[in-house]
Amino acid sequence: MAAALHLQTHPCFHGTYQLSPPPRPSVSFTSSSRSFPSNRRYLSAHVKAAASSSSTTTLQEGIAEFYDESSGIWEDIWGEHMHHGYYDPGSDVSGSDHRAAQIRMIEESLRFAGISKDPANSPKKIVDVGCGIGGSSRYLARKYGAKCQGITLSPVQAERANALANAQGLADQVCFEVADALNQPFPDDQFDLVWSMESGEHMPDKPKFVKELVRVAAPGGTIIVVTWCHRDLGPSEESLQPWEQKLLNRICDAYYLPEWCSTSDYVKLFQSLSLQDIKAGDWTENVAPFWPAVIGSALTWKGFTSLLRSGLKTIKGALVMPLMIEGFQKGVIKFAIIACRKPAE
Amino acid sequence: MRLLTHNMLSSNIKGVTKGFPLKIEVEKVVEKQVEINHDFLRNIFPKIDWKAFSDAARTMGYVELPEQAPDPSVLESDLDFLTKFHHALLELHLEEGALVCPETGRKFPVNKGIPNMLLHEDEV
Repeated sequence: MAAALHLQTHPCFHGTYQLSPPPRPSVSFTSSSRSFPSNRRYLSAHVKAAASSSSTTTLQEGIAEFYDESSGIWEDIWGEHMHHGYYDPGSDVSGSDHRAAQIRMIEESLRFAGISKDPANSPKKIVDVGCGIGGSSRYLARKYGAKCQGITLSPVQAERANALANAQGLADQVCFEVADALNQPFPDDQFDLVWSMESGEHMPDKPKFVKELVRVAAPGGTIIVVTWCHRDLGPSEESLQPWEQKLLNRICDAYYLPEWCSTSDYVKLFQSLSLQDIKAGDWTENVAPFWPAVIGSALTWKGFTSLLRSGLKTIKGALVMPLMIEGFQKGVIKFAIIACRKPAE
Repeated sequence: MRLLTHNMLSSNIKGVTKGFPLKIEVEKVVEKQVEINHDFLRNIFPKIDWKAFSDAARTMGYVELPEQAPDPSVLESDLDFLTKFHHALLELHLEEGALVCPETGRKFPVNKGIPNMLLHEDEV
């Protein structure tokens, strides 16, 4: 099964570039936001082309099985939020409250996107795209007194998400369905807030993913995407360096990820759909302590024995964690936030 | 799956122009009590497609709702109506069954209360 899931990463190299060390991209995102003028530049080819539909099905089955197998052990050790914590750059995180950092990640994302706390203007209908076991959904529903739908490919996650909602008295505010982010089962223009927290990296067709996010957003609604990207390409580059691509391929294999794109690819997609107030941020420095902490938890007695009991997919995912650290340290992997608003009618 | 959720789901199979509302095939309905919140009901009422909602409630075995959307003034003080509205919207759960695309007849299974809305390869 694992062999069948080695994905074609659909390389689009037009020759290798003999640059060393890896070039610094000329458009670098600082941790402060930058507003983008609405220009219609087109995406590089590797993002435009979508995966074939049968490889998409295989990918989706892999994702569902990975999370069916792994969600329990993650929740056991890390709790209900399946995303990075947000830390002050360069801070000492030994003894840190990582769960508090995960909450902070949600709050910083809302702040970045300028979501109003004023009850008259706060979101009432929210969709959590790639909801995991529903941590964000429940948090946002509780925070805003809103109604939240969560969608996931994993039936195990949807069931657990519902059980947690029931246990937390949120059963009338949140609900979860097994559904595909690339074909969301909702009519157009539904949601005041469209939330995608660390799910974008699983989407094999980024243009379609973004199109669906925009379709289901209500006029005047906000879209927030927090996701892993690769570094932006320099002006003379058509692709990443071969060593960078190789690193990403190994991570893709273990985490059921399709081809990566860059933060500016997302920005261009939103621009092409005429979204407004597009902002992007680079939060790589703010999540740097997270992976060492996850590795630390895997090396505790509880973590280690849980892994041994979990399954091959989870173990494989665990073994690849140092590659994430390498990717962050070498500037290949970026942790990005992109926020924008759908024009009001 | 509550009827509040059903009122927001549609079939987006390729080529389907009217995928809402989904028909319901019932195998098992469960009633789960939830505390009534009048303000919530007043806020949500304008967002509900009433015909779809009352038809769905009927399919689930609950026939107390009016077929036509009532005047919003009933939400002010008609406790009987509010209770029935609350019950149908939030307390009836389709545990096992299916949601059916109104155009193609394709069934989306509902298991343990969770709808599976994944499309097949040839439906996208």
